[in-house]
Order: sequence, then structure tokens, then C-alpha cells
Amino acid sequence: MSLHARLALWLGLSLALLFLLHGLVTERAPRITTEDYIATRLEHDAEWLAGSLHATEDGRVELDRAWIPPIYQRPGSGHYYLLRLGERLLLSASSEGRALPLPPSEGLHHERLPDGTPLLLLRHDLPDGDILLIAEGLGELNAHLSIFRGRFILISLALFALLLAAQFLLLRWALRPLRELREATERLGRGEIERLPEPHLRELRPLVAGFNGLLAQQAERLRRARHGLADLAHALKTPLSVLLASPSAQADPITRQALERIEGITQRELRRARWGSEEARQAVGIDAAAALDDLLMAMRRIHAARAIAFEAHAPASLPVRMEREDLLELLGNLLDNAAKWARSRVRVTLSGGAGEGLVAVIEDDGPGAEVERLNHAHRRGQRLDEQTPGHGLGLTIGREIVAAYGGQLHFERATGLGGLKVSVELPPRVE
Amino acid sequence: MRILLAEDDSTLARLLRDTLRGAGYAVDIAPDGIEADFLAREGLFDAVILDLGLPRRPGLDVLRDWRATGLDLPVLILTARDAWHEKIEGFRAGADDYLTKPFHAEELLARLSALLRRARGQAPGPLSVGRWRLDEASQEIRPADGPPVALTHFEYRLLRLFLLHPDRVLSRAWLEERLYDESHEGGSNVLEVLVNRLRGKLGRETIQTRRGQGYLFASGAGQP
Repeated sequence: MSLHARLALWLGLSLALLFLLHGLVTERAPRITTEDYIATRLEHDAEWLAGSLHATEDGRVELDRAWIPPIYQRPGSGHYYLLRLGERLLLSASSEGRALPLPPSEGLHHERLPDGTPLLLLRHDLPDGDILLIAEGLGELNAHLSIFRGRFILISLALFALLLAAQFLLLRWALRPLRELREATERLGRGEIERLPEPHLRELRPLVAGFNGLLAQQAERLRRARHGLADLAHALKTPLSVLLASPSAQADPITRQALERIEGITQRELRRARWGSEEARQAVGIDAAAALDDLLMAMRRIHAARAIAFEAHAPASLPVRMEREDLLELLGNLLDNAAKWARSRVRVTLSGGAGEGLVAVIEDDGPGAEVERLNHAHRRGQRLDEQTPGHGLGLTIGREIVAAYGGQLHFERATGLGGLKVSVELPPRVE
Repeated sequence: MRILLAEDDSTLARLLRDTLRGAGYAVDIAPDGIEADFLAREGLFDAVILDLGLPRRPGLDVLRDWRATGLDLPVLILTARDAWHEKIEGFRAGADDYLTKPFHAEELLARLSALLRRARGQAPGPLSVGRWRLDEASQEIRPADGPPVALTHFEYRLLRLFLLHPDRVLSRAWLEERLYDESHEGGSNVLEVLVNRLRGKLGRETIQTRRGQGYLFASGAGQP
């Protein structure tokens, strides 16, 4: 689950809960206030009506009609009273003969008329067991309140949606440094940059600084390891050169052969140590086209005496995720091998890209080689230099580097130039 | 021709010097970077064989310095550093060729010879001027219409210098500098003796004396 989704979910949920609680309270408030107000009015009317009771000459208690508020006299006004005096019932004119329900106790009650009209009803007990019921219909109020509620819900939903959208934008803005960091990491992977840029966000700075530090440390370690091995190679090779150049070795073929074998083993093992390390696969990206340019410059000088024409087909820039040393070693060995065997021409074609990995094809116009045997040598666990004299160490090294990067090496006859065609396919780096 | 060999391993340097002398080069040895730099700037050498792991001053630094100051004599790097990125570094510093240790003497000689040829703008292949062709392997001179003529070691050295600079007046001092290295104690008339012996083998007109200036190899002349 992404940070964005997680924040959006929990913020959204809490926002929804807040709206719900607020809505419940707000929705109830007008009803409570209004009913309180109605209850006060009912109490006043009850007091008024009770005060207008008086005894007639024949000893009966009666309501003084002049004192009755006109609203109780208009039929269907929604304001009613019922006076129970002993056995007698006095109904307001507005009641149109319908008796009010009698609640069991004194006080305020929600009741209904027989036709279902909701009422707020006050029972007011008078001395001598007489009862005054006074009520007001709630139909109109309910209708108003339901309109209010409808609008309230609509506005609330609109606000909620607006807040969600604002929250989404806010999250995107707040998380942008993370997104930029991710993009920078991808560019680092493609080799477009060498270290992560300093982020604007203070919280991210130590993280990025730590990462860059680690990157630099890694590069330094790799560099030191390689230099250490180069020093070792130097230390071993000079005495070996002395032995090879010495008159005794020149004179004795057995000594010379043994020295050449030692030489081969030294070179192979040093090479293997050089790129067999885990670092090879944590490589950052480099430009393969630039590396090829460097190599061709060297190739043209090394093979200057034989005037080999090197022909290159590559895009202007070709980012690949590889150690530069490894790529140079791979292409260098394959090109050198091709140049050794070529009569006059070597052609190299690079294609691919960050997403697709790298495809390199190297062809020469030399005598070619037994491609079947080259293609199957590794399956039988043989090394190419054991199998095919001459087409040897260079191809073996090429194969080992390709294997370290999880790629494929394929040999066939070059249809155009007629010699050997070596195809290298390196997959995009596994994340 | 005179070669500067910058190599810190004294055993290897001695063996290489013998090999190079055997192939007809005069050889001086510089055991460290500072000495190599000093000697190369004397202008006596036709080429440098440069080890990269030199004490006191790294070979690459020395080479970069030479190129930065316009010293353009041919340089062949001879080193144990055999990775391609190291070779590229070497070429970028201004090397003309690169050979990795351990190596075979034949390859070094072939590369050195090709390098010297290239530096003079000559086509690869056997050195030939006019009707003469020099065989570097057997150290013989072949005329176009006759049997090969055997040469002694110093005759071969001198003749190669003439063939590399045909139809040009070469001073005695210039020739002696390139014929011998610092260890050689040449007599005062050794050069004259050598020239006379070559005239005997190739014909009197081939090598002309320019009084007070030196000698000249005439590419068109010299019927035996």
C-alpha cells in the first residue's frame, strides 16, 4: 500500500466520521430548539386558559370565551385544547369535534390525532381533578425540517467532496519530494546522474545524504579493490616477464610453455576476481556509446600496423546499467579478438536501451570459426580457450562477463563480412 | 636508432636491453619516472618504452606531461595493467601503442618497429628505399636485382638510420647519438669505418660524404 493511499484512506475516513457526527448534531438542533419554543408557548397558553376559568352563578366552571385566543377558534389552525371538567369535555373550535388523546401523566408529550397528525401535547392538571390538554400540530414544522434536512445533506456532501479533493491535492503536493526522489533513483539506475540531488525537504536530507554516502563508499571500495588487484597483477607479471625474456626460457621450450601456462592462469584468475564480485550487479548506469568510442580509439592504435577498418553503428548515447570497466572489458576483448582475425574490416553494432538492456553485435571478415562448437562449449563445461586455439581467452572473458550480468553470448557466421559474428544480449537490470 | 627504456625492474630492463640491442637498437635505461622524464627531454631518442608503475613518478603522469609540453616522440606503454579501461587511460594520456606484461620479445620488437615506421609516416611492411629492401629479421639488405647481402650488427644499425632518412644530410653527431647508447665507448673513427664498409657492400655512390656536414644516403644511386 502506498503512503499516499494510506494517508488518503485514513484522512478520508476521519473526515467522513467528523461529517457524520456533525451532521447528526446539526440535524437535530432545529427540531429541539423549535419544540422547546412550542412547549413554552403551550405552557403560556395553558396558564392563560387556566386563568380564564371562572364559576358561573349556577356553580359550574366555564371558560370565558372572550379570553380564548382566536387561533383556537379557527378550524384546522393546528392549535387545540381540551378541557375536562368533571364529566364534561370542552373542545376548542379548531378541534372540529376530535378529542385529543389523553397521556398518562402531566407534562409534555408527543402524540397523534386519530388521523395521524403528529402533535406536541401538554397535559396540565387543574385542582379538583380537572385536566387541561393543550396541543399544537407538528405537520408544518416537520415539512420545513425535512426540506432543511435535504438541503443540509446536499451541502454537506458537496463540502465533503470538496474537502476530499483538496486533501488529495494536498497529499500530492506534500508527497512530491518523495516522487521526485523516486524519479531521481530511476535516473540514477539509468545512469543519467551519478548521485541523488539534494532534496528541498529537510526530513529527506539525511536519508539522501546517507544514500549518496553509501554510493560513494561503494564506488571507492570497488575502485580500491580493482586497484589492489591491478597492483597484484603488476607484482606478479613483471617477474613473469623477466622469466619469459630470460635466455634460459628462450632456449628451453618446456620452460617457456610452463611459463605461458602460468601467465594464462594468472590473467584468468585475476580477471575472474575482478568482475566476479557482487558489485558488478549493483552497477550504476553508463553510456555504452561513449565507452565504444573510447575503445575504438584504442583499437585503431593497437591494430594500426595492420590497418584494420573499424566500423561502428551506435546511437549518439546509449545508457546501460553496467560497470564501465566491465563493459569496456567485454567489448574490448570481443573487438580485439575480431581484429586479430579480421583481414581488413571489423563492424560493431550497439542497440538497446535502459529498458531493453544492451545488444552488441561484432563481426569480422576473417576466416571465421567453428560456431557450433563455440556455441556449445559452455554446456559441456569447457572453456573456449581450451577448445579453440586462438579464438580463446578473449571470448572466454567475454562469456564470463556476460554470464555475470545474466546475458547471452551467441556465435554465428557473419553473413555480410564472412567471418565470425558474435552477438551479446544483456538483459535490463533486475530491480 | 636509440630507444629509451623506462622500467624499474632491473632484471627485466637488462634482459630487454639485450633483446633490443640484438635487434639493432641503442638502448638507455631509466629506472624511475623522473629519470625517464629528464632523459626523454634530451631529444636523443626515437621512441620510448614506458612502464606505468615507475617509482618516484608514475609513468602516466610523465607521459601526460610530455604531451602537454609538445614532446611528441613515439611512446609504447609496456605494463602489467591489462584491463581495457587501463589501456584506454594510457592512450588518452598520449600513448601510441600498448603492450601488456608478460609479453613475448618478438611481439615487442614487431610493435616497436611498426611504431617507429608509423611515426615517420612510412607504410607498414619491410623498410624499402629505392631499389633496396631491409630485412629486419635476418638483418640483411636485398637489392632488387641481386642476392641478399649480410650485414654486421652495427652496419645494420647504421644502414637502417640511413634508410629511415633517405636523401637527407645526416651529421656525424646525430648519427653517433642514435647509433650508440651511453654505455658505448666508440672510437673517433668508428663511424667512418662503418660507412666505408657499407659503401663496399652497396656501392660507392650510395653513401655520399658532404664535407663539414655529414653523410647522405642517395636513394636513386648505387650500382654495385
